[in-house]
Amino acid sequence: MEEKETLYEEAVDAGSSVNKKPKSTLGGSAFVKFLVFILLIVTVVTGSASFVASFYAADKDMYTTSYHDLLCRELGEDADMIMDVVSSFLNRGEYDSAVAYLRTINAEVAILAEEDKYVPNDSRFLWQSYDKTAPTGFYSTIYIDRVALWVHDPAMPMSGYKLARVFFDPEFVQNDSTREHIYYFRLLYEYRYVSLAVLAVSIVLFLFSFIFLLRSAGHRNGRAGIVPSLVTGLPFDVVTCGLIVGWIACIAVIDELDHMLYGVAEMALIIAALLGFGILSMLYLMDLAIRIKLGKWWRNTLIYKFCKWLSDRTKAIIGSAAEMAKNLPDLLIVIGLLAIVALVELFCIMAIESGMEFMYAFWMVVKLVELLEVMYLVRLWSRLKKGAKELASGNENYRIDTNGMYLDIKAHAQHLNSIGAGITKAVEARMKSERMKTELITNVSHDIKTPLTSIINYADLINQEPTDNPKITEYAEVLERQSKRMKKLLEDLLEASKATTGTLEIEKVPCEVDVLLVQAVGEYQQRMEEKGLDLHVNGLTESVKVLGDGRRLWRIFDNLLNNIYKYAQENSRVYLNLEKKDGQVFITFRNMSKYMLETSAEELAERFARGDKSRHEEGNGLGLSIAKNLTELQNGTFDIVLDGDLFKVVVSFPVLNE
Amino acid sequence: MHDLYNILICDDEKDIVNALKIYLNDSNYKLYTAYNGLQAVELVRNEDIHLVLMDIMMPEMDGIEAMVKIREISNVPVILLTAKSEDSDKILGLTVGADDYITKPFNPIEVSARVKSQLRRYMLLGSGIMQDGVLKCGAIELDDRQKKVTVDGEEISLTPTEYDILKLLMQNQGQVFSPKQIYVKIWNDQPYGSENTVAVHIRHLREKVEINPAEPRYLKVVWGQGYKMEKGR
Repeated sequence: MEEKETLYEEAVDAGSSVNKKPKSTLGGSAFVKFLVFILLIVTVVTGSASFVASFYAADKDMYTTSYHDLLCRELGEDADMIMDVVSSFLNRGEYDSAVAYLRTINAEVAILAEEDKYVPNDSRFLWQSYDKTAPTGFYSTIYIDRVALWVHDPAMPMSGYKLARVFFDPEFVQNDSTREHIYYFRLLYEYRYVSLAVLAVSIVLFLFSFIFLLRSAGHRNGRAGIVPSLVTGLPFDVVTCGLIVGWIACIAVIDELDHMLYGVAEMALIIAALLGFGILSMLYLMDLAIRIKLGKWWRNTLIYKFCKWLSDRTKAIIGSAAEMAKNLPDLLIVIGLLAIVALVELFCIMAIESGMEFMYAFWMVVKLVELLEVMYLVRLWSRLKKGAKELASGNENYRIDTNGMYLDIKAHAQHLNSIGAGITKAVEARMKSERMKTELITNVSHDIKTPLTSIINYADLINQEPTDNPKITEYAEVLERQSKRMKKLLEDLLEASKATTGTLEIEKVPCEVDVLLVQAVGEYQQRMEEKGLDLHVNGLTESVKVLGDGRRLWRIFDNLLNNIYKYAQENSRVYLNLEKKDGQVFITFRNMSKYMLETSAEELAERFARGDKSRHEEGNGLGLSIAKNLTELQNGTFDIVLDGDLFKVVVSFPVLNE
Repeated sequence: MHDLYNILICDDEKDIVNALKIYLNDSNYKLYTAYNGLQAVELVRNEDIHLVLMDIMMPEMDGIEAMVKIREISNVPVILLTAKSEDSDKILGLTVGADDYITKPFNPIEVSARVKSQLRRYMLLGSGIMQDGVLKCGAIELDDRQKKVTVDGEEISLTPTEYDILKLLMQNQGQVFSPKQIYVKIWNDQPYGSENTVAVHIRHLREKVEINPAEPRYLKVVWGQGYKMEKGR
């Protein structure tokens, strides 16, 4: 069946998509459907008839007992009836009338002298209705023993309870009610197996036509898809109710008729009514099949429409209530909610007071709901808190998951998220502009370098020219000095712009800070001594490794030592200290400043911070800025401490543990 | 000495070419000039050029492309001059076959020193026969029998400690020595905090053997690790 169905549907699909006109099928033909419907009705009739027959046959043990035994059992009732008539004749002493009666039916009666013995032609028969000369054995074929009634005739030797025996003519020659009875009984017996076969065939054919009709319902040749029936437009529950009411009425009428004698007209009426409602029911089932095939059959029901209307209404009411609540101040909402909870609890208390103990359970449920809601709110709140914390700590890419949030909490989360998005956008724009700035600085620097080369070289050439005019020598020297300063400025500018935007490539390898410090000191020792600066290095007792780019680390130390070389008070001491503490290595540079330090530590580390406040001949103020940026690029910290004339820089890096 | 070296100066900036011509005004040099890569390649092809000093950013054909073309026809030493100072630019220049690299704005003395150094290596030392007891690294030669050190053939004077350090590094070219290791080997003692003595000596040594001590060619500082002699090319 399943396989057939798939084939069928494929045929429909292929037809509708390729040929436009659907392929004709048996199920689509109205005539075939009509024939099958007739077949269905016929199978119902034959099926019920054969079922009744088979049931009756089975009830009479026709499938298990021999015909003779059945016949004997069947004739019992007839025997009783006959005995009633015969005994009434005998009691009145009308023996001849009894014999005359017995002559007209297929039975004879004998009353036995002894209660339980029978001997044919026995003289001890008290009374017998038939001719003794008749051939023996004729009446011996079928007989039923019955207790005869009490006979009051004192002339007869058979007063008291006696055994009577009713003999039946196996040919049933006389036309009486027994003959008719046995005729139908014999007929039923002979067709007992045929009726079973008819029942089986009827069931099979019924099922076939039933399924065929349900499957073909809605299919019509020449029409694609499912065609609704006439009643499909009506609400399904209305149709169902109509049918059920009809059935109830029908059964009630039959029940009513039951109290009267069943006449032919009544029987015809009942059969017609049953048949009619059977046909209606089948059409109803076919309509249901069409509805199911069309899909969403429950939509065309009054119940569904009512529920939908109800839910739409409810939603609208809740929506407008929420809208109203939105416009209320938060405080009022909270007070309102608390008031509702308080009222519910008050109701509970009052109910319990008046003896309704079970309200304790209701109160507990209310509390449980409250607890769950509070827990949920706390969860949402912690999500908000985490999001705000991430934003505050600079993780602008963090977004709060607004799933399951509602009302103000959701709005709040969305606001926080848009702050994050705004920051991300701003940071990106900032990074882009920084990169462009770096590129601009790099390109401009390269372009400036070429003319600067000529300036430096020709200033040098002027310097080398022998001249008597001392002013020319002086001016040329200024030119040379300033052009060299410009060169240094350009180089620092390039490096500073790269270091701040992080476009600098940094290859981190394990580096020994103590070795680096020794190397840096070695580079500067002689120059410092020339200025009378006394370099003191402490803390070089153990090897300290950090992860960093050796050349960039050197650049940091180089810039700091250069700073000291330029700005430290001549003939003073300079202290360099290396210290390992809490997984960090601290390198401290301390010296006395030659000039008064008028700026703050923060300003010193900023690019071009020196501004107009303390402009000196040498340097350009970028050294500290570059050192700070390079330190931070390598996960280090860079702090400047100013204390009077004491200038201190503390650089620290995380120690690399091996 | 060779009687005359042919040097090709190539830059699109005429003022720079002129200035270089003045700085390289030497009786030993015959100077050729070109103003773009194409002219430079033509001159190398037609003349017996001994050294090329060339800018990278030039019209018509840039220095890198010219460099590749020159290497197809000649083994002449080439010094690249450029305003670009990024590491990647230097690496690119040296990869395509340049022998040295000078960034603008340059120091005239450094330029002439590098020219001289490249010429000596190319003309004189390129085929020099290695004698016993002579250590060589690029332009630096250390004659252990005579306790004599020459750079580009010119003798330099070193203190005994400097000489010992240089010898140690030249004997182990390419190997990095920490200041402590050097101290132990040279002074035969533990440093106890006097490693910076080694650093000071190395600085002096670099000032003597290198043209630009801040950008050493041979005696390199491996920051945070130690010092090494670049493996001789």
